[in-house]
Order: sequence, then C-alpha cells, then structure tokens
Amino acid sequence: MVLMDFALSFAKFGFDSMKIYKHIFVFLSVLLLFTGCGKTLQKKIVGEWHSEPMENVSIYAAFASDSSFELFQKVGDGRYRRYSGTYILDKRSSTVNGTYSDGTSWATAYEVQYDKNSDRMYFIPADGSGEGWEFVRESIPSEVCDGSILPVKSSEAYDKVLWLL
Amino acid sequence: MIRFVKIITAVAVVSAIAVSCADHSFLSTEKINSAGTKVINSPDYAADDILLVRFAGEVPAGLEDIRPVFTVPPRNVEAARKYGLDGWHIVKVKNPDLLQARAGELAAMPEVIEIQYSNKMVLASGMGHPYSPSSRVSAYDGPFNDPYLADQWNLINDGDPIFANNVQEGADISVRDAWTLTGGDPSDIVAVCDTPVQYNHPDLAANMWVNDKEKNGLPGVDDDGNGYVDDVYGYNFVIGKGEITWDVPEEYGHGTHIAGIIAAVNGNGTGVCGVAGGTGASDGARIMSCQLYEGDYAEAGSEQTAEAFVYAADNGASIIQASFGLAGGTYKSDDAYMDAYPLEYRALKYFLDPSNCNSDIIDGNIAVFSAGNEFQPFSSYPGALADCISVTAFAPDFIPSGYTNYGAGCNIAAPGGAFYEGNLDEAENRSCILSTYPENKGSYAYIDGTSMACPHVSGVAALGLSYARKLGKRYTRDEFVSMLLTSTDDLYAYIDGRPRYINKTLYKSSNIYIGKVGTGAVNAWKFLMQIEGTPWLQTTVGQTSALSLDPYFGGASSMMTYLSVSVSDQAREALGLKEEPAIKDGKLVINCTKAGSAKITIDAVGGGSDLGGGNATGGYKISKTVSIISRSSVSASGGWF
Repeated sequence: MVLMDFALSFAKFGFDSMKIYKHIFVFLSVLLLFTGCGKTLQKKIVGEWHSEPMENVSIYAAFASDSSFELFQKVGDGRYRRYSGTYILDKRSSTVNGTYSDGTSWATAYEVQYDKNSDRMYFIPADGSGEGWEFVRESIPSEVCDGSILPVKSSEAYDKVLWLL
Repeated sequence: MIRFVKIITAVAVVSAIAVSCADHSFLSTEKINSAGTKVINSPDYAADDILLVRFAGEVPAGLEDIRPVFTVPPRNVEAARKYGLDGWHIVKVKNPDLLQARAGELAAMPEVIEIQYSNKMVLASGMGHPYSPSSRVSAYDGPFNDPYLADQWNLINDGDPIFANNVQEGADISVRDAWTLTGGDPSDIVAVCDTPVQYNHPDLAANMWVNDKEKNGLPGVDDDGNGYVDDVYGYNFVIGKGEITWDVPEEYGHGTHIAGIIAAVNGNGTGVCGVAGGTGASDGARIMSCQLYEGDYAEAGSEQTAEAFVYAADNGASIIQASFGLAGGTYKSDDAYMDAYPLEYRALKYFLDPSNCNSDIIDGNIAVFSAGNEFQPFSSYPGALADCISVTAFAPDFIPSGYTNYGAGCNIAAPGGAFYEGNLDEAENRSCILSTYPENKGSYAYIDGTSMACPHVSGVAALGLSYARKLGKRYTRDEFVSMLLTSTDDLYAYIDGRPRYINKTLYKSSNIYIGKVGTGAVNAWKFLMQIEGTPWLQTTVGQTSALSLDPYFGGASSMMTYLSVSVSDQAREALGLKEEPAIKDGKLVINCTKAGSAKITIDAVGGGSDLGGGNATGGYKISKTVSIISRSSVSASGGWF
C-alpha cells in the first residue's frame, strides 16, 4: 500500500527535483518505519511459547524468524506429537495463518494479540468459530523436543510414527 | 521343517460317558454318586499305563502304585480347590488292555470324584537348520553388538532381499526403537513350557531364571522348600527331577530356540538378540525352563503339562510361553477342549487366576500359545481358549506363512518365517527364524513355525511389563492384553493373492488369510506407546466425522469386528451428541454438536469375528476407552492450529 501511495504521489507531482527528493525522503522514511514495524511484529511472535488451551491439552510452539514453525502437542495421554510447517503474518490485520509440512492448512487463521511486555500472546480464531487461547513465552523443555514423535493423524496408521532420538 | 506338536491322530469329541458340557462346576458333588459321569474324557489317545484319578479326601487304603499328580500341592490351596486341582493322583495300570476296565472299577469307588485319561501329545519330528552367518554380519551396525542380529529379519527387517525375494521392509516386530525405551526386566519371568532350554548357553545363561537357594544348596536337597529338589533353572516334568536334560542326544533344541527369541542376551558381543534380552546390563527378562518333552517324538501327558502350569504359577512366572497344542480343528469350542483335557485346563485356569498373579504390573498372569502349523482354519487348543493368546505366523514379506493356522481363535500374528523354495537357492533358510540352539548342535539355527511366532509375542509382553514398571503404571490383565492385541501393523495390506508354498507344494492363494490371522502383526513400539498413553481423537463440531481407530485398535483397525460403542450420559452431554456414535466401515462415525471432550468405550473382537468361550472358538474381548475431543475447527493434519 505504501508503495502504491508513493507511486500515485510521484505521478501526481511530476518530476520536479525537489519534490522528487522530498518524496524519496518520505518513501524511505515510511519504508524504514514500516520495515521496523514489521520486524517488531515478527519479533513478537518469534520465540517459544506454551499453552494449555483446554484441559488435557498442552502445546509448545516455536515460531522462527524465517517463517517456519514447530508445534509440539499433547492431546490427552502419551507423548508430544511434533508438527512443523510455515506461517504468514498479515501485518495489517494482525492475523497469522499457516500450512503444515504435509500441505494441509491450519484449521483457521488467528488474530494475534500480545500483552504489554509481549510475554503473553493470544490466538483468537479469525473465523469466529470459537474462543481463543493464551500462550505464555516459555522455553520448550528438552524432554518435550527429544521425546516427541511425528504426528499421527486420525486418518493415518501408526506406521508413520518414527522415533526421533 | 519343524512341526511343533500334533496329536497322534484326530480326536473325537467327548463320549457319552463324559460329563455334560453344561456342567463345568469343578467341585460338582453330583459326580461322586454317579459312576457313569466320573470318567471325564475320551481314552482314544491316552497313555495306556496310567489313569488320573481325583479322590475326595484321603486315598482309600489298599490302592497300589499311586502317587499325587502334583509333586507338591499347589501353593494356593483356595485356588486349587476352586479349580478342582485337589485330590488328583496318578494310578498305575499294569495291563494296558484293562485300562478302561480299571477306570470303571475306580469309578465305582465312592471316594473317587472323577477320572481322566492322560491324553498324550507328541512333538513331531524336525530339526533346526544350520546357520552360517550371511555377508551382512561383518558389515552390520545395529543397536547392539550381537553380530547375528544382522540376520534376524524378525527383529529388524531392512528390506534386504537376502531374506526373501518379495521381502517387505518393516515386516518385523518393530523392536529396534522399543529397545531405546526398555530391553526387558529381570523381574518378569517367562516360563518356557517346551523341550529343555540349554540354561548354560553363552547367549542365554545371563537371562535364565535362577533359583539361587537351589543353585547354592546341596544336591538332592529341596533347599528352598518349594517341594521340588534341585530346581535351579526350572524343572523337568518328564522325569520328575530338577535336571534339565538339554544335552541328551535325541533332543533337538526346540525349547532352546524359543528361549532365545524371547531373551537371548543382548549386547554381549556374541550371537543373536532376544526381544526382551535386555540392554547389555544383565537386565533382560528371565527364562524358566519347564521341561515337558525330552528328545524327538517325546510325549507329554496331561499330568506333566498340568504340573508345569502350576509350577510356573507357584514359582514366579507371569507369562507362560507354550508352543504346543492340538492340531487346529481338533476341538471347535472351549467347552469341548475343557471336557477332553480337564486337568490341563484347570491348571491353566489356576495359572491365570488373579490370586496367583506374579506380576506387580497387571492383576493376572498371561498365557501365550502358538496357533498351530496345520494350515487349518482354526487355532490350535489350548491357545484358542478365550483367555489365552494364540499366535499365527508371517514371513519376511509380511504375508502369513503357508503353514499357519488361521481363523477362529487366532489372536495376533508374529514372525514365524517360512522356507521359500526356489527363491533364494542356498540361502532359503534365511526366511526362517534365527535363534539360539543347543551348543552340541551348532549353537544357532533356523526354524520356522508358529512355535517361533509365539515367543515374539511373549517377549513383547515382557517388554510391556518392563516399560509399564518404568513408568509406574498398572493395568488389569484385560487392559494389558487389549493393548498388546491392538499394537499391530496391518499385514493384510500386503496380501496380494500370491500362492503359498510348503515343501514346494502349492498351497492356496494367500487371500484366504485376509482378516483371519488375528488383529495384525505385533508391533513392540506401538505397544510401548500405548502404555505411555493414547492420543485423543479430534473431531469438528457440527460435522459428521469418520475417525480412524488405528491409534486404539492397531493398524488393521478397519478390519476388526466391533461389538459395541458405549456412551455415558455425561459424555453425551459433554459432546452434545444427538445421535449415537457408531462403527461404519471400521471407523468411528460421530457428530458432536458442541465443543468439549469425553471418553467413550468401544468393544471389539481380538481376532476373528466372534468372541470365544463356552461352546464357541473365537477371539479375545478387547475393550478400549477412546477419548474424543470436539473443536470448532480442526486441521486435517491433526495439529492444534
């Protein structure tokens, strides 16, 4: 959008050199500001998080700056199941969406909110399908990572389960 | 090829003189005053020189050549009485021609409650096939330093065609990863009821059950006071002595081979690995040798088998490993077997009784039997009994072995191997099972059969006990066995109709096995994962979902027979169920109208389409609690996002 605004301004005001410099300055300033904002937004989600969105469910998530994520989830009993994939932050709407490494999409996009110190993060289903849940910034315990196994879909045999040690 | 145990000829059903099938009261006093109902089985295959007679109270004076069946009375007097094991004696009959007449005489005595002919079972001929290490051995880099593990496809099948032309990678018991969690535990004792185990075999000795008081005691003295003299590694029920006679010339090593499959010592730098053979720290399961046979063509009578079962119960075994039985189809219901072999049956019930449980993990001992090698559509008995596990066999291509029994009474499959004639030239042995063998016969050998499949399941059961102990978990026996029977791979997916061969003879298409060799191929890793806990199934609010039950019922869950789905009112409310969940095409069909979580119970048949017990032969009743979580949105990947 910023680029588009700049292009329109550029076309409107012509090639006057002062104006060009002025607009370049404005463009660079805005670009710098926006990039900074982007980095800030990105930084907020980047890191390791823990959530217990409901009873008997425990989730650890790691969002990396390269837009990849890892999810360690234990629903009920047994070990943590390990998922991975990529995510996209929509800065304008403050939503995050993603795709698992098997090509399936997340169930929905989530509106992301943070507390003042960015120590807590809230995922709220963007489709209004239900209540969100809270993450707390927390390192993923090594036993969760080391002891996890690859996901078992309800539609999939255990044959795909691999030991990751 | 080894053929484990066969009855000498076909067996007829119990004659009219047997007790009514409907009357299975072990303490029935009606029998006492009715001479006609005291002889409780058929004499067709009986030893001709003895009768097994149960007396009420003291043995009458004047009877000669008589001794108790049990060297010592069963330790648990109450359970022994409960199952009618008290009062049994062996009465010698001098003239074989007068066996039935003598039974009639004894039946007329008021002190006699019941009489059983001692039906014999024999081990068919067969020897192990010699082993020479393959080219894989020198280069193998496995989880343990036991070099011959390279040739044990049954434990780790990497798909090398040296094992079979159509070998399937993963056609094994998936124990490699399981070993990273546990290798077994010395407190789990497996009673190998078979030919003798070479207790001092270098690859077995460290995992033998050792009765230290007898080992360190005086020869000829019952040092531990258990009634059995010199029972250091078990007992020889053939000759009634503590000496395990593995080195007699005619002994062919069946029991030693089986012992190695269960618990050959892992990580000792020599030989093979065993399923529950430890991790190289003297921590494997323990083998107790209950010798029922001696030498080729040996026979085991009813009294010997019964005493072995009682000995196992009274001396610490939590698993009976029994690769013997009657030919598949000899009996076609639990009742028929029970009537023909009452003493063994009762001794088995004694072993299984919760009051005799020797495990700190489960509330009852476990009995594992081979399904039999007659290519019959029935499991062999006693394995076919509803409360025993009957094990069928598959080969390195994941296809049931051509000889294995299948159908009613078969519970689960395991590697039993097969000779693939013409496929592998000189290496065809490599499709069979490699294990320990008596040192005087080569130390290691190949054998195939359900006899070999069976100890894989015994070993996996021992691994499960060990891992549950590590995690501090306890189960009922039914819960434990249900987990074991549902920790499987779908071997049916590999059946492609190719014919099976036995000794170069074409058998039928392998399609006949589809759905009939049990719940699937046993998988040690999945079993340990079930012990850790089973993940919940996720479903979406407002949608009718068909959920695979693989995590709960194994890789072949879609082929199982389900009996019922039970939902409590609380669960119905929590999930907003307006229609009852049901099983369709092997999947759980459920429609939750609100988000929540709850548990429901699903019952299924563990092997085949009908439950066993009573007047039927059938599968083990499996009951699993399935946890459901209903959410507004669920990704198809199963991930929470």
